[in-house]
Order: sequence, then C-alpha cells, then structure tokens
Amino acid sequence: MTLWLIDRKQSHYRLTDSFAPAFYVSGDHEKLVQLQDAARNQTKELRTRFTERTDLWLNAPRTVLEVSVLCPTDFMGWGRWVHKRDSRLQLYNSDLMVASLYCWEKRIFPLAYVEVETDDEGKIQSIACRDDEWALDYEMPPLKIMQIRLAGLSRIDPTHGRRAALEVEVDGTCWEFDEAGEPPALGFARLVKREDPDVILSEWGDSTILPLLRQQAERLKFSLPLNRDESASVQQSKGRSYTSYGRILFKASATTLFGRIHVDKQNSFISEKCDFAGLWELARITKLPIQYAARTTTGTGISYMQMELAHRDGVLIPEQKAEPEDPKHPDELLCADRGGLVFVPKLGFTANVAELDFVSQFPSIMARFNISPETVNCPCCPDAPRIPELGYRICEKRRGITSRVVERLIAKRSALKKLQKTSPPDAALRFKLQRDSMKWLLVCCFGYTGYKNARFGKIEAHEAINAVARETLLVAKEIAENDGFQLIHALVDSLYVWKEGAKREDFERLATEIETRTRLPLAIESVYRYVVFLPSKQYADVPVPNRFFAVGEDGELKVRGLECRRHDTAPLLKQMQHEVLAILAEAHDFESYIHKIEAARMVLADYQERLSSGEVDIRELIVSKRITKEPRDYQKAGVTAIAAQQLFGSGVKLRPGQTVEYIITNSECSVPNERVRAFALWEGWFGYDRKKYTAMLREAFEPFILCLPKNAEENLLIDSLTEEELKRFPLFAALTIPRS
Amino acid sequence: MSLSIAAAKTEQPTTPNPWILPERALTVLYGCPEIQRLSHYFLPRILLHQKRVLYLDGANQISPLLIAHFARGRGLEPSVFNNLIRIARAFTCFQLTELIRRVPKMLATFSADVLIVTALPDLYFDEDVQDRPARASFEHALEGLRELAPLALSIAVFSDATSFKTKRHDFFKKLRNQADHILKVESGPESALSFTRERNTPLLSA
Repeated sequence: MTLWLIDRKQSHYRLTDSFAPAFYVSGDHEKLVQLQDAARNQTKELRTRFTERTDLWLNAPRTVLEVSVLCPTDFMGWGRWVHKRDSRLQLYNSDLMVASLYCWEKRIFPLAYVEVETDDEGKIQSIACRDDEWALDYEMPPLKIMQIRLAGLSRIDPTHGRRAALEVEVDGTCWEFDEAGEPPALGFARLVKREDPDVILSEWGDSTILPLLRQQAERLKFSLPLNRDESASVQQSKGRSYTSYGRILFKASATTLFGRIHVDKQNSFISEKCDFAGLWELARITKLPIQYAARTTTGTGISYMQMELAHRDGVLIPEQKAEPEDPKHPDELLCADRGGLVFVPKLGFTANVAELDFVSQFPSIMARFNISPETVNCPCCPDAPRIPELGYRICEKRRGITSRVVERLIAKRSALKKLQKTSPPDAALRFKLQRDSMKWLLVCCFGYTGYKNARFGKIEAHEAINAVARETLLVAKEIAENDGFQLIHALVDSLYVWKEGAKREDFERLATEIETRTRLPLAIESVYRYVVFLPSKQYADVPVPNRFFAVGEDGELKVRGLECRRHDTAPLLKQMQHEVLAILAEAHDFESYIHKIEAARMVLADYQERLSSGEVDIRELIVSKRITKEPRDYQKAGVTAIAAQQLFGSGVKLRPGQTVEYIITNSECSVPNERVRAFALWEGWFGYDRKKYTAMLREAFEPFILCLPKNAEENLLIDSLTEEELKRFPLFAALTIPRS
Repeated sequence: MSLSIAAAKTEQPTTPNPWILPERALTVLYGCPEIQRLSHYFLPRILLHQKRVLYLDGANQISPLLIAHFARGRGLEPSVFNNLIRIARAFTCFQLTELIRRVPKMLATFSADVLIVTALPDLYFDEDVQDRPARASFEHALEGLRELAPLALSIAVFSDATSFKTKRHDFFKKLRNQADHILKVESGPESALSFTRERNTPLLSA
C-alpha cells in the first residue's frame, strides 16, 4: 500500500505499508478444502485458513475459508479466480475497495491526523490515528490547491465544440494558455512542476481538460507530471450512460491521479453542492478514497459505512444483493408496496401558515425503531413488536447496522447545527457544508434499503419505514386537527398547518405535542406570511404537491416546482421569476399581494421589452436538455433531438444522459434544422425566436397570478408583444457570443 | 441437460388450449412486450380450480388490483383468489435465482400447484451486472428449475428476452432447450393474440 502524508509545514511524504486484505469463501466443506489446496499449490500470494464469521440474515456463525491476499493490487483478481474455479462458492468481502479496507484495518481515514513511524526506506513500522472522524471541528492538512478551467461559460460542456483558453490559478494568481502561444500542455506542465499542488480542482477536467493536455503532451513527446507518484500511471475511466429512477443519466469519464487529488467540479455532485468542506467531511466519515468519494454517489458512501460496521462485527459482506422478498398475499403486497402519505394542498393563497417538518424523518425512524434490513422479520424474535399496517416484526436482540450508521450521522449533524449557530461566519459556513454533505448521506440511506444494488438492502425494511412514516403523519394530522388547526397540505414528512390568528408560540406548542407523541424530532421549518399552492400545469383545478411558493416571516422565499428551480430553464426566465418573487416577498397579506403583483407585472413587461428589442444576451436564452437516446435514434424532430443531431453532425460524440444546450431560433419553421441552434454552433447564426421566448416568459409569470380573482387574471394575461410589434422590430444580427 | 423434465414431457399429452398450462412441465411463453402482464390472464382459470400459485415476479409487474378485478368479474371476493396466491418479487438476477432455489422450502409452507416466473432471463441482462456473475447466477437458476422437475408442479416462465439488445442471448436459448413447451405469443391488430407452439405444431389463434 502506498500512503501520501502531508505535515503541518506542507511537506509531503510517500510511504509504503504492508497489508494483506482478506476475503471469505463459503460453500460445501469439501469444496472449500479443495480450494485451500489449490491456493497452497498454485501460488505463494495467498494465505488461507478456516475461520468463523457471522451470517447477517441468520445472525449465526458460519464456517468460512479466509483468503488473505499478500499483494493488495491483485485482491479482486483472486476473488475472480475463486469464482472461476467454482461459481457455486459464495464470496464475501471480495469486491471491497482495498484503500477502504486498509483504513478499516488500521483504524485511520482519509485526511486523518496520524502519527507514523517508518524505516529509512519509508516503510511504515507503525501508524496510529490521532484524530476522530466523528469530531466536529478538526484540523485539515494544509493542502495547496491549483484550479484549472476553460475561459468562458463553465456550465457548457466543452466536448460540444467550445474551445477556449486554459486558465490556471494558484493562490489567487492566474495564468492563461491558448493555442496562439506556447502549447498549453507545456505551460501547464511547467506550472505543475513548479507549484506542486496537492489538489487540482478543475471544471471539466475529467472529460476534457486533462485528457486533451495528456494528448498534447504525447504528441509533443514529453511527460505531463500529473501524478506525484511516478511509479503509477494516470487512471482514466470511460463515461457511461445508465438508468436511475426511470431517467437516463450519463456518468462522465474520470481522470484520477496518484499522490495528488483531482476533483472535477462538473463531475462531482458533492463538491458542487457542499464545496471542499463537504467533500472532506464525506471522505473522512465514509473512508472512501477522496477522488472516488468526489465522483461516486452518496449511496456508495452510506454502503461503505455499513460495510465498515459489518466488517468490525465480523459479519460477512455479500458480493451481491441476493436476499429476496418474502412471499406475500396479493393484498399484503398492495398494503406494503406504498410510499409516503400525501394530502394534496389547498389551492391558492393562504396567509399565516406554518410548515412543521420531521427532522431527517426516515433516518430517524430507522434509528429510533431499529429498522434495518437484517432486523425486519428476523428469525430470532417471533414475538417482537410489529410495524403498523404490515405486521412485520423488528428484532429486539440486536441493533441493526443501518440504524447504527444513521444514528451517528444524525447525532453529528445535530451537534454541527448547534456549533454552527454559535460560530463566527467562516466557521459557521464550514459547519453548514459539513452538515449538508451528511444530509445527502441521510437522504439516500432510506432509498438504499430498497435499492436493487444495495448489499444490505431488503425491500421489507423499505416498506416498514414507509409504513411508520405514514402512521406518524396521520398521528400528527390528528393532533393538529384536535388542537383546532387546519391541515393545508402534508407531504410525507412535512405538514402545512393554519389556524385563525395563530402565533408562532401556538405552532411551537403543536410541534412539541407531535414530537412527544410520535417520539420523532419535529421542527418548525418556517412560519410563512403566506403560501401560494399551485395547480397542475395540465389541469387548472387539480392540486399537486411540490408546486408552490411561500414567504417566511423574515421575507425568505421557499419555491418549489417553478421554472426557476429547474435545470433546463433558460436563465432569462429564471431571472424574471427571481425578480418577481423578490417583489412578491414584500407582501404581507392578500391585499398587499395584489398590490405587489402590479409591480411584478412591470418586471414582466420589461423582460418582454428587452426580448423584443434584442437587448438580451444570447447566453440568457440557452435551454439545456438531457438527451435520452443516441442522436441518430430520435425519430421525431423535437427541439432537443434537432440540437443533438446538429452537434452530432459537427462531429460531437453524444451519449444518452448527456445534456445539450440550444437556442430556439424559429420554433414554427417548416425546416426542422432551423427551429433551434445548438449553442456550441451558435457563432454566425442570426436570431432567436422572440415569439416563443415571449410565450415562455408569460408562461413563467402565470403561477404568480393564478391565485388572483378572475378579472384581475385576464387583465394580466394580455400579451404585450403583438404580431405587429414583432414585425416592427428587426431581427438582431449582432447576437454573437459576447467575450467574457 | 434436463433429462428428468424431458422425460416428463414425453408422457404429457399436447395441450390444445394455450391458456391451460401443461401439468408437471416447464412452459416458456415469450414473444411480445406485454408478456409479463399477460401472465395475469392465466391466473383465473387456475384459481377457479382451487389450484395454488406461487408467483416469482422478476419483472415487478404483478398487479394485485388486476387479480382482484378478475375475482370480482367472476362474482367472487378478491380474498378467494388472494388466498391461493403467494407473490415474491426479485429486483436483481441474484434475487430471482435465490427465489427459484428457495422454491422447495416455500412449497413446504405453501403447497403450490403452479409456479409462475417472470423476467427469466430478462433480469440477467442487467448491464450493471458483469457477465461472469450474471452467467453463473443464470446457470444456478436453470439448475434450480431442473431440480423442481420431479415435483407435481406446473411451471410457466414468462419472458420478454427477445426484445432486449444484449450479448447474453444464449441465456434464452438455454432456457428454451430446457423447456418442455415453448409458446410464442404475438399481438396482432386490435390487441388480438396469437399463440404459436414452437416445439411442435402451431396452436390455435385466440
């Protein structure tokens, strides 16, 4: 194993340690003996012995063959060797990441403060952790960070044809390299050698910048010093399309380094959402290698936390999820196979509404009621307490692995929240980002109980959590109604309640009562001056959850389901909605709302005016859509398909799940290719579809007037940009991309 | 490969009605994307004869509401049908294999006359699962089915394998080789179904 350490003076050290990770094999004793003989006779790289480990589902010991691999890099290969010999043998712990296994065995974690003894050759004699991954406020290694990006719009995928100068920044100093001067790879290599960063933070580094720099270096026949560890080569994985929750997504390729960390902000959910502080926190508590933690899902993080606990308990970790559902009656299935409870909202404007949220409800249920895949319908507790509605039993003899993991996460989040409130702004922000990263872990820990690839998943656990959540919400509703509150809306773990003249203290009393009865933490998310619940876009009288906007007592906005929340919306529409919402946030009641809507209308008119007069920066009109097929597989000439095919025609390789950006140029044109223009191919094009964008602006404004009386609404829906006006204004040819 | 089943086949008369599953035999039905849902339509006839069904649902398409609808359509309470069925779903190929392997154990507590399996081998085409473990798991599933052959059990596998773009098409061939009866189901105009018995002579159109 190779370890990279940094001391407080920013000096770094490459150390090595011996480590023999082990996996376990179960099966007929005779076959295990044969395997042991084969391992002894065929190689000196393995050590085997019979031992006992615990079966997770039976909670009973099982005799297994332990196979220790002396060369850790071959760990997974030996697992495959066993399987190839006899596919009937069951393997456990055989496909775990060796780096994480090392951390588990040595009780250390990425970015931990450690004390090390080495020999003269840098071989570790002893390593001791002087840190705690559950610490709230910890010392971070003094990492030197180099940022690399392409000049211009960062959110546009450069593989779509955008070629810009390479910008490199270290400690506030910026360098720019373009093809006109010295080859960027040469300049970049020089900077990397000189600055010797610990971290390269890139935008599009995985898919574009680093691969292009490497290609250029190869052409120019020099070595690009991306790795600090010269004994290893840069790892480049391939991008791939996959389906998740019915959506086709694309996982970009990854470029990972040795002896240095590369994080691509455009390919890292956690660093995009929670910055470095969140990523560091995640790597510390999940014990995943940092570059892997940056790119993987938080579900993998929670899985590894579960597996670490299992490993410590001597529980066998299966290769695949093979524990199936228990047989059920059809009516039992109908009862069990349900999600959270929803009470549809009361449409329109309601003043003085409180939102009460169960804090991390699903994880709290898992922790509070010991719901974990192995504790549901365990074989050891036939008389254990039963889950409401379903009658599933919960083990009373052992604490579930998932319950233990979420319990610690909830406790740390809660402690960080307290610390955040009493800390100066800089530290408070760091604690917030740490909390946020843990929120993402908690969000997925429930879903993972039902996820097909979760090793410790079991559908009954998923169903049990949902059943308890439904029961909890019903109890909360009854308490609220008994206390004279009206339920305006409820969605799985949150309730919107109203009572004539209710003050914050009244809502607080209600929250306390619900918390006491349900034994689950409940908090007032906000007391809103008003909430406007909106109907379905298709059916004006059908309420839908998660389409509303609300203004808190302090004027803070909460918006769900509007265009400004969507990733594919053109920035112009987002800006308009944000400006309108800022005006509406000043309203206190329905009367003042009506008054404010007049001012908001002026905002809309102003945007429409800008649109028609050509003042709009073309970048504000970019629509981003995810493609669901290969460009050539589209049968209909929808706008997304046209843009994808334009890019494909210009040599861009697009895969399902990737995003294309385009401008609507003439949506009603009989020639499909002229309806839209891919943004990457925009230069030299001549105009956008003012009529379409105007209609989109109007549509984006509609949610704000839906709660108004009919006559007021009609007044507002008049299109300010008529056909005549469209003719009067010329098309603006000068709509090229402004240089930033 | 499947000698015991093959031997059983020769003793069975050919079934003229495609909606009646042959007894003590493995029947594979495939050919149209709606095949998993079609499996429901075999249930009323079985259940009306008070026969019990163990339904292993790899397609996650089982509809308790449709089963209740069938019962009500025959003037029965849904519970009459429900008491005769047990359902277990599989979301991964490994789970489906495990379910098939556990059938003898399940039969000890619920003595089914008919075993229905859906999405075999469709579930084994999952690209998230590497070829080696998928192949091994599928072989174990086939072996599990072979081990059920001596039992008084009518087995029906509903598969949509032919609609998949996959390199693992040999899985379906192996399943076919092991089957006693193979029915190709195709939907024609106005949702009319036609059944073709591939191993012998074509059956009637329905």
